[in-house]
Amino acid sequence: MTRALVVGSYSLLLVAATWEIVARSGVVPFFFLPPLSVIGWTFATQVADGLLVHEAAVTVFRAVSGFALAVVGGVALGIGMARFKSVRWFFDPIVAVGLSVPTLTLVPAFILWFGIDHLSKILLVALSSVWSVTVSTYNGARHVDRRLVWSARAMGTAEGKLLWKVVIPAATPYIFNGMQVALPISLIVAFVFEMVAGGGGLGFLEIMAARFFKAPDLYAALFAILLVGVALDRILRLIRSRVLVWLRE
Amino acid sequence: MIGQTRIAAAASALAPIAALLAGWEILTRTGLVSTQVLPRFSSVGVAAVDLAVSGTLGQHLVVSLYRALGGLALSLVAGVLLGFAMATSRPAERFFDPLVSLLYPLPKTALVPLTMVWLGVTDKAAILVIFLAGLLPIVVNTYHGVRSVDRVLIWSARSLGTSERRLLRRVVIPASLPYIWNGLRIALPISFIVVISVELVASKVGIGNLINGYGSLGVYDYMFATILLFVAVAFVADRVTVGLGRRLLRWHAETEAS
Repeated sequence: MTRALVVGSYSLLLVAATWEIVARSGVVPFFFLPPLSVIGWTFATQVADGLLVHEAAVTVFRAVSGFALAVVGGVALGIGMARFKSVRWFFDPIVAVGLSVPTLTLVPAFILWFGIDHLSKILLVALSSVWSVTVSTYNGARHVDRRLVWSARAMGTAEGKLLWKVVIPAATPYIFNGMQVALPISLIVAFVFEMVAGGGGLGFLEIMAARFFKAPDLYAALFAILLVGVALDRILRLIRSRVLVWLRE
Repeated sequence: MIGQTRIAAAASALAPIAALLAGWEILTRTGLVSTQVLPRFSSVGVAAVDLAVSGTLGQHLVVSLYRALGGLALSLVAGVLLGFAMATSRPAERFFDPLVSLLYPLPKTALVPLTMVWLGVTDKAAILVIFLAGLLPIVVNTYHGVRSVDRVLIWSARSLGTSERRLLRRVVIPASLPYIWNGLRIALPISFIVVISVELVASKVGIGNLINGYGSLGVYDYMFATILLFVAVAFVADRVTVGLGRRLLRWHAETEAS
């Protein structure tokens, strides 16, 4: 078991060892590449004194709130587009634009409209990630087995119940696909907004470390960001598998 | 006939966008939304024309596109090579797979401050982040593309005496092209997102810098004009990639259908 793990990840160990040796040898300046052990120490200290944990919580709060808004809005919009022709006509071109353009260009506009605190960040995260949820919900709702809908209607199921009992469960795997695309977008927008506008968070911490050439702090923040990215991705996958199993039963 | 239906479809698709813009103009003209917060669409339009005619837009757009497409070109070359290597060589796969899986969930814009420290506020730093951000989607897609090549095709080509090199050129590369193109299509918007991030955070030129500059000076009609123009450029770039992919890979769609 341990052997398989070492063999499976030997490249990571190799990269880590090379990093440590190169950094210690002094070939590259300290602020370009501090030794991995120094970064590890900085990371551990900053986790222990609560700095990284607190800033990570701030970023996660912003990213997840915006993401949640995007999921609610995207599912509603996607279902609306699948159900009503007029909604589809109106939003089709808007979704096509929203899906393919960099919404980060709106950072200065959102600062103007909603200030530099949580609200502007949460709203831009939502606006950036809503489109992929919308598209996948729409695709899912369109692919619901027609016969299921017919037979439910024939048995006198009300429209509202049909939505909750048939359409949404059938579209759920698609909705999760959209969420898995939207999650990294949420994080990217949250981090960049923090770098530009400040107001705490891991993005802010990282850019300040870069501005003051505190290399170990910069890398520690980067590792924290990587961990947040991995953790949220894993959590979403876990929820997905739980929900899908539960739906099948 | 076909031309007419196409025009009708385009008009029907443009109508909602036009309605939004008209709503914008009405809200700001009636004073429901203060022009301090949102300049009128008409004044943004005037600013957009001025930006385009005076050459300011072009000057910054060239820098942003150079960075975005330069980085993307590098990630395409390196990503395809790496993807091929990982799909065809077991040791290469063993070596790179843990690295790819470790770095895949990293939001790549987090590398902006790092490249800023390494290379300063330069084009090179911007291109490096864009290269890194676009690399993984292309590696992963190329890998899956090469892996998906029909085994039977390879066996029959080999049994007919096709040389390994010819096999690569005539069978493996064509069969994995749709996947590589898909990777490129994922990486293109990423490169636009990252170039804007770099230019908002640390740059003296480029579209992101221009938007930020107008924003901090309070010249909001020009700020919104720049945003709209760049959004239009990004949208057209995406459409062109999709259209080009359809045209180039038409034979693939046909083989899928048959």
